[in-house]
Amino acid sequence: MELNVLSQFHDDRTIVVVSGEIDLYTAPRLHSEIAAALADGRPPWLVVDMSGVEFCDSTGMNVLLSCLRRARERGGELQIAAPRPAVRKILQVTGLDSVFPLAGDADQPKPAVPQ
Amino acid sequence: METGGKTGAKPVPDVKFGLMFRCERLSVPVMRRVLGDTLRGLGVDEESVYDILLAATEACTNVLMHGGRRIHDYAVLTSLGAAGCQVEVADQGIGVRPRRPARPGPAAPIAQLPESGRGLAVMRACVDNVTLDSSPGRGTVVTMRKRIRWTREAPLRELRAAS
Repeated sequence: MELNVLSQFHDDRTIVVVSGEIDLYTAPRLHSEIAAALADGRPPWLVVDMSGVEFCDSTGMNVLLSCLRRARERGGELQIAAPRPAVRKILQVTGLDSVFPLAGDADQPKPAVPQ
Repeated sequence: METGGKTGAKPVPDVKFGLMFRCERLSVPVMRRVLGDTLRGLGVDEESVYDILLAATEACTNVLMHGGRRIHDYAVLTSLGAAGCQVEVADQGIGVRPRRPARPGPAAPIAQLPESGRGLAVMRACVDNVTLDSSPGRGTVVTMRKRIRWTREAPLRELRAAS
């Protein structure tokens, strides 16, 4: 029932690596970590690597939506990378799969998929 | 009131168990851990377990977010039998009114998308039937029913086969 968030800062983008479970208990920490990555002075281009997320509910989607909005307000983008079935499921049942850009899609602009 | 589209038969339980939690955020992952381990132990397959845990998480989140300040605890009552699984999440809070699920069209600008209110839609997507019984001052009971798949080693199937 833990959540781990690790931000890797690059010149042109930030990669936020999230693992564990996202729900009402862990969502506030996810929000503050991503908000810090979007702080003034940082590039507004974010890739949220969700390959380690084993559970995510609508509270987690609300956090990501809020941060996507913030990134776009600053002229950037928030992409989701490597969603596992748990994340794909909540994206699909909330209808937000059409809202979040997936890193690695051919028609998405930069940043590219982190290696 | 009935909020699910499909009919779910009320299970005749082989097993019924209840959990009571204090109204704090930590109760949500704890509920998931205990309910998930119990369902797995009784032989419910992993995909069914995940759907039930996601739906139950949304129901418990609604208690904590919308139950009001007067409530101190809530109950999660689970029945498991041949017809499937039923999970009731009950509180003594101020009651809620169901809202239409937020399902944005592909062209909806993100500024118009709400940052809450998707819980009931998620529950409906995960289980066969969701009912919400709520009235002012009497609290809220969310009842979710789902047909489930069993693992090969499910002890409940063994019991039923032997009877």
